[in-house]
Amino acid sequence: MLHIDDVSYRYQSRDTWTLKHIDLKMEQGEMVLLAGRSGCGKSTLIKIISGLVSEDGQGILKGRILLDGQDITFWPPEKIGLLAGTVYQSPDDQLFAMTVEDEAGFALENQGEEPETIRKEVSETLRRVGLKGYEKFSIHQLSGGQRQRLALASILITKPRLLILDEPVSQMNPQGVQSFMELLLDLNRDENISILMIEHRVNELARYFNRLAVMKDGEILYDGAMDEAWPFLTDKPDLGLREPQSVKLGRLLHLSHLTSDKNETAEMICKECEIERFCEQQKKAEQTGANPLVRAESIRFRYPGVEEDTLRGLDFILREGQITAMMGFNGAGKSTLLNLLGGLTEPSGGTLLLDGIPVRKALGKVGYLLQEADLMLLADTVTEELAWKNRGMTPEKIAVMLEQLNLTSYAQDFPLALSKGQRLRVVLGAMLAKEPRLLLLDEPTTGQDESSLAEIKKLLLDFKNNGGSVFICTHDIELASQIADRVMLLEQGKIVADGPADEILCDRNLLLQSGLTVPAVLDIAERLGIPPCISEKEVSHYVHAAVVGRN
Amino acid sequence: MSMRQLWEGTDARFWAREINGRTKLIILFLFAVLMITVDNPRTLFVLFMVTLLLHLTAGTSFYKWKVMAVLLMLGLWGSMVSQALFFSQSPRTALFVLIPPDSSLLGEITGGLFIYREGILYGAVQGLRTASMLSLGLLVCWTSDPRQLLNALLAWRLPPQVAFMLVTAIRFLPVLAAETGEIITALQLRSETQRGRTAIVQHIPYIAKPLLARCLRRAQTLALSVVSRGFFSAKVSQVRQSWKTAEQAGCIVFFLFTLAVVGSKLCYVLSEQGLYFGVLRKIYDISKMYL
Amino acid sequence: MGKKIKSLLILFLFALSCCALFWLTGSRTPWTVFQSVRGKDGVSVFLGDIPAENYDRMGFTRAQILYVGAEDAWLVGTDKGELFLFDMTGKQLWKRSLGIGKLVSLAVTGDGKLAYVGEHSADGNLYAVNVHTGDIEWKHKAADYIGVDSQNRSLPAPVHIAVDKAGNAFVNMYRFVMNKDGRRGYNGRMIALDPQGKFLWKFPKDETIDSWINWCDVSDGTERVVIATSAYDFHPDMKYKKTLYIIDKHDGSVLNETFVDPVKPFNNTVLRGSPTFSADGEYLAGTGSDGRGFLFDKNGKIVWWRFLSKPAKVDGSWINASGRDGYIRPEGVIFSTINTFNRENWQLPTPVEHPSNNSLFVFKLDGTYRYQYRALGTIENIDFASEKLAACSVGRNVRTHDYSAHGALLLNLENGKKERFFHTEGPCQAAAISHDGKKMAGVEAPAMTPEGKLIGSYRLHIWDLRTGS
Repeated sequence: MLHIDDVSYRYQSRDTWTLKHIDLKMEQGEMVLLAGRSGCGKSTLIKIISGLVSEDGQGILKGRILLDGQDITFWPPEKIGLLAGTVYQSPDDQLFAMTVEDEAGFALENQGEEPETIRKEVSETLRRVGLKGYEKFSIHQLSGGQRQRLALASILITKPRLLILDEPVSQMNPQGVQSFMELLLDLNRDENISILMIEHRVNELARYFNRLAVMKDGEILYDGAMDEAWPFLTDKPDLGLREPQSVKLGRLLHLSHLTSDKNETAEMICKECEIERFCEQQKKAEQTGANPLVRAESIRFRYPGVEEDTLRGLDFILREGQITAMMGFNGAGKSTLLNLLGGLTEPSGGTLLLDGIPVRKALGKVGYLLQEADLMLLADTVTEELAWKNRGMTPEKIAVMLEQLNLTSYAQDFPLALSKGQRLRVVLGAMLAKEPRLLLLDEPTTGQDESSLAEIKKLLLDFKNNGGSVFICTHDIELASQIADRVMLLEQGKIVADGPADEILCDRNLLLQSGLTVPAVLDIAERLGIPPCISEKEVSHYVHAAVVGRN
Repeated sequence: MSMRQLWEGTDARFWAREINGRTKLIILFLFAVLMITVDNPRTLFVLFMVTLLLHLTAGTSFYKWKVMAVLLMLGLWGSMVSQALFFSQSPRTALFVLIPPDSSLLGEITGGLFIYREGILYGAVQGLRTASMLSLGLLVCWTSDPRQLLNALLAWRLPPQVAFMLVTAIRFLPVLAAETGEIITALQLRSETQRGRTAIVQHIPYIAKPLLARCLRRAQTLALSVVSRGFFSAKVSQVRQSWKTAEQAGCIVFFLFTLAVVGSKLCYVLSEQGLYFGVLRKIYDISKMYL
Repeated sequence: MGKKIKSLLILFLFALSCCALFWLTGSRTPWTVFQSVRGKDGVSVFLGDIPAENYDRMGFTRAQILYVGAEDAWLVGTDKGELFLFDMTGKQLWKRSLGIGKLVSLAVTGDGKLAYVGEHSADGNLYAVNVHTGDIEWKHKAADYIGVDSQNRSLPAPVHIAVDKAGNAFVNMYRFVMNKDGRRGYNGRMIALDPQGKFLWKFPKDETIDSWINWCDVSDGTERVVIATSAYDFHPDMKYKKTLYIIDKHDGSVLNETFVDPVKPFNNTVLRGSPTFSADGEYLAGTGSDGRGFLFDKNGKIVWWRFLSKPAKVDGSWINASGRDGYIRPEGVIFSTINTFNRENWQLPTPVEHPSNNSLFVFKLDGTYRYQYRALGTIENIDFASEKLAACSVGRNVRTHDYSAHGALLLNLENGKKERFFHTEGPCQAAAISHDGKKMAGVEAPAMTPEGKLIGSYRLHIWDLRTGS
């Protein structure tokens, strides 16, 4: 269906080839996940398939692209658009009209279709993506997930044979990802649409795709079945892929076969490993002895013009040297609580004290990293960024900080031109430079690849070990399980669970109740009959590495 | 209502949203011509009131009225106060003396500071001009889908690329407004004191960079998205062609009215320059009295 | 709740702002908010921005104003080259931008239909303007009669216009010339035109007058025209040395010439703002630069003369007050004098004011003194109502700098008493009065005082004489 035949591309402004002899074939109805670190050439490849760079004179294109047997290499984008539609990462950036029906019908309108036909098609397409009844809605009234569906609908309306999705779920929470992926699977199944998705959250998406292609430095390093990819990826952390937990576990236990299927993994462990079901494991306990830093008593908050409280009487204590993860459904009040802790708003009721004084009077002691960390970048160089409004930052301290952030070689670079992970680290560094007592982070792992995640985790743990208190709002159970000492689950403005991370995250019911995905390891542990575990390491405590498996 | 919703055009009354983009743009353009042409303060005031009346009939929401009122008052009073203080034409009548010219240091430096009556009037005239255009511009913005305006520009055979550039700005207004709010929050978070956080003004110079960076990225993605959907090779559809006769007639009438106003004013200005015809005295009178 | 109150407060303030704008934009006549201001005695109308001249400057900002009975309106010519017609309430009936030059002379035909306007410019146009519509009916260029030398800024102008009952215009055209030897000279000529713009005659026929001719008048009764010369730089080799030339109004031929002998310490006597014929044309009243008032007969022969202002030597300097206007009215023969000046140089200060300066003198026709009215500033012009009343514009007093002197004076000619005085901030440079004596108008000019202060503005004042006391 799609045949990328020995395609190479070089931008005029660059010396090296961005794409090098890319060969990729897709059959009709096939779903392929294309992964790779930022800058590996994924986006360029998409642009070439969509016809957006072939004629722009900005570079040299070699090879050819065949779609349905036709050479589309030099077709105009609008013609290719009828066969291959592209959905981008942020729906806000690609939606053009103000209302749902106008947006969905935009492509047909451009083709000069009759209004009646457009109406009919719009209605049908919106039904397919689950937006029926939203025709007259403003696009801004839709949730992020709905907007992404609308973006999909606006492409689907021309009935393309190939759907290209560029990190469409990177901003979504686990439920959002699941529901969006199910929609894609339906489309693939019902209409036999081929799907090429670019995403490095392989851990969450592996189960939806049979085929994985991995790119690095403009080349396809791997192209094959999903489950056969894991051995290949061993010892290649520089690819930046987040592997599924069951693969990581398999690798840790030296299983003979690595698979993203948790049942298969569990079966293999049973077959290949020795399990000690009753050994004692030291669980991480909440450090109740540490000094309290933040004391919240009966915190309530209500937005103006709203009849119900968003936060309904929260009581908690955050201690020094502790990482607390706050998790829960969208709309549970997580961001509101973060804003209160960050001093951006004041509680409608209750007291919120940091070191015994109201938070709004102790702002110098709080560092708050927004989800959209890019918005916090404002200086021309990384060094300036670290020093901005941080009077205590001497050149020596900056050098040390750059070292910690692993950004020494980027000291004089323009922050917004760095990679996503680096940008996040710069902002985190700027926050740490304030030497806060409390560090607040809102979904810090969104869109981050594995190596970037590792850097962030290291920084947070260092901060914690130096006596700082970290409060993270996240959907990422893996992250929480790895670094959090304590987990708070929030539901409809109330804390429904608050305790050591090991306990809370092992409670399947609590996780489901709070809209979180049950980690694969927890399922595997249950199948193995060992006590609940949330990380691979915990499992390895009960399971001895396979003696018959691979190395 | 959020900052984002403030800049959306979907809560206006149906009739206002249904008006063809061409009609809206024509009225906006002709109104701008009128605003430039007319000098008479009372007529400018009446035209300003007309724009507010249009807001009323279009069902502009309470929140939007509030925001608009703040913007308009800032413009109007800013213009009046600055002109009242720094009016340099003569004659000028000092209503109040803020700093007497003979007061020791300030008086010597400033040469005296006065509130001039003519300055207030002059400021009011200039303020009304901008306020009227702001008010009408907001009305068009709040009652229009960018596509509507885009269709209008395309119908006038404007190259799609140019039309797209013009309309993208409106498309992104809600997003930009929301994002500006977020950036201000982000900047506040980087200040360590309460005072540093509330002083929004001192953050303004820093808003541009992150906003621009995101704008560029957004614009690029949007361009890619619309290109793929065949926008730049768009055939003019039936939807684009349907421009109601009543609206066309309205536009023609308004155009003729504007033409008459401009013609009349032109005659008057020419008469000032010496090209004077006694038979046109009535026109000169009307221009002088009302324009 | 607080937020709602805040929102309502904003909208309330906005509504208040709208009300304030309504008041600001509509509390006065539309459009003329900058131009027409109603005071307790009348209205004033701004005539445009002009540079303020130094207060002590010899040639100062001027204006022309006439009452036109047929339109019951004021015809105003300005230094900006604009001609206006305002009604009695100050409403502008029309405005005509005539050109880039200053309007220096103005006259209206007896029926009030046609106005002759003289412009000081490269062309030195004389316009005939339809008073009702503002249309230019025709124009003549002074440059065609007396030439032009733009490089030396020697620009021609119809400096004075006299109109007879038939509406014929007798126009003094004049420009100064700079001779090769650096001496200042003059170039003047009178032309006569009918109301249709048809050229009738010129005087002299084949040459120009080598003197400054600033004034002329015409008499229907005796069918004569008088031209007065005003050459301050008097040279023996000048051809037109006479003080007055009496000319036949039909063909421009000279009927008589008069030379007025100067009195010591002056070398010559000139008439710059006079003489003027009596209603029957039998007499001419003129005031000389040496401070004397003359009554001439219709042939220019002196019937009698009186010292209005005798030259006096104070602290070694000769000081005097020049005469300017001369009129013959039923109430008597009227002369006016201007500021005290130093014989050596106009600009030089004088130790004292001459007691006869800035005055209006009235004599009986037989030469009997009746009274002197002394104003605090120069009487720039005099206009007469049908009966007894005269409007005088009172301008600068360059000796005393008494700014309170500025204004328009309504004088009862019968007894020489001041009926009304309307003060203007800047010097009042021209005044006119309606025929019925119920309204008076004057033009105020801005001035830069020696202290560096800007006083007044270029505006027309219309005063209602029926109100107040």
